[in-house]
Amino acid sequence: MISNRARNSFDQMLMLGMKASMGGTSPENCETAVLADPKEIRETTVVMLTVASFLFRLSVMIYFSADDETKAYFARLNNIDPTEMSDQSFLDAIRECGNICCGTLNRELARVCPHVAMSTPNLIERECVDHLETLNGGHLQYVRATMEGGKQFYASVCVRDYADIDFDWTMIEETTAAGEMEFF
Amino acid sequence: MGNTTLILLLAVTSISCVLGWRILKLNAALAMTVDAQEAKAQDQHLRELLEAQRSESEDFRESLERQLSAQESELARLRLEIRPDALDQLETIRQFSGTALGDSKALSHEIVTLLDLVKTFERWHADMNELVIHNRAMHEKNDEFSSIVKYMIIVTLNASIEAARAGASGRGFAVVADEMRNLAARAESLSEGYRSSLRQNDLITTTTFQDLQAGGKMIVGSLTGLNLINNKIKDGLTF
Repeated sequence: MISNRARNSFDQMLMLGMKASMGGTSPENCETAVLADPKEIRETTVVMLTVASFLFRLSVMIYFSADDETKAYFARLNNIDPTEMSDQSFLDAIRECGNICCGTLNRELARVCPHVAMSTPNLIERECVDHLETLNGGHLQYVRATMEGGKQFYASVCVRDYADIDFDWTMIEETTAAGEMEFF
Repeated sequence: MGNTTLILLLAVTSISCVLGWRILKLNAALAMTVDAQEAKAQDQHLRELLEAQRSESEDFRESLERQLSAQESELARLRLEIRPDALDQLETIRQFSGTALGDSKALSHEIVTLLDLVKTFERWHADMNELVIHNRAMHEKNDEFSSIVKYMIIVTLNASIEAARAGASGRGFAVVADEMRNLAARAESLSEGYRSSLRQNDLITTTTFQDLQAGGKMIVGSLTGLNLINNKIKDGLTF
């Protein structure tokens, strides 16, 4: 059984991951919210990653379509001219986005769980995720992220628990003063 | 007369001078005699003080020697009492340390052997890749099957139209065409169900595949951490 505060933490971590992976240089301008109706998601493909622990298995799914708007967004995110972005480099960018998002969850979970590790990304059809319920997850949540400029992305987190899960996690706000060196 | 008087006066004067000088000399000698007496008295006083100090120091030295002797005796007694126990304990600690060091080395060897689990994970990884490839092939076959079924539906529809055109003579053919269309519709439904099952299979396979991969990394990470801790214990036992 997963406690309410653990569920909430999983959701907050996913939102943090979406901001980190898709927010670009201004993640603070990325608005995230829990999605009430997953039928809103029309994307065709999903990049999926897993964080494994002794106590649970957490799957992260980010939805996308290989349309011009999405390609243009990821081209800008990677400082590439949209016309020069090949299908392969677009898929690589999507996988990298999944890596950063799931890596954020992995890092945050490592603060509260002693042993966690994450997988590499895999691409699957959007319809595969319609069967998420069959994984018997103890927690399933969908999240929407609205980027600067209005582009929206969707992600979901599915946690399969193998023991009671409860932990106390608080988000640490990242400082904007990057690049400064500390001398000891 | 005058000369005699003068000589007498000179003689008297000389004698007076000599006497005056002698008196002065005697006075000086007298003063020196007084200072010498005072110095002698002071000397005597200092000697007495020195003697008193020496006597006191001697007493203090004797007291310290007595204390030192008593403490040495106590120390010797304590050594005799405690040393055998301390030596026994030291020997026990040495034995435990030796055993622990041996165990630590054995544990280190086991951990290094266990880290070879990576090869097992790589095998599972390869097997899961095969499964994913196999699933993809099944998708392709099902898509082809679905395409055939769709074509069959069109063909059976055309057959029904042709049977209707043929009138009474085509009635038997219409029955067959309808039956074929029903079969094609069932095949299409089956193909859709099969596609859905394959997608569910994709999800389960991907989830399992990623769980194995991440779980493998987690176990290797834990073993590496355990090895580092054990190495620290080993280093601590060695020194």
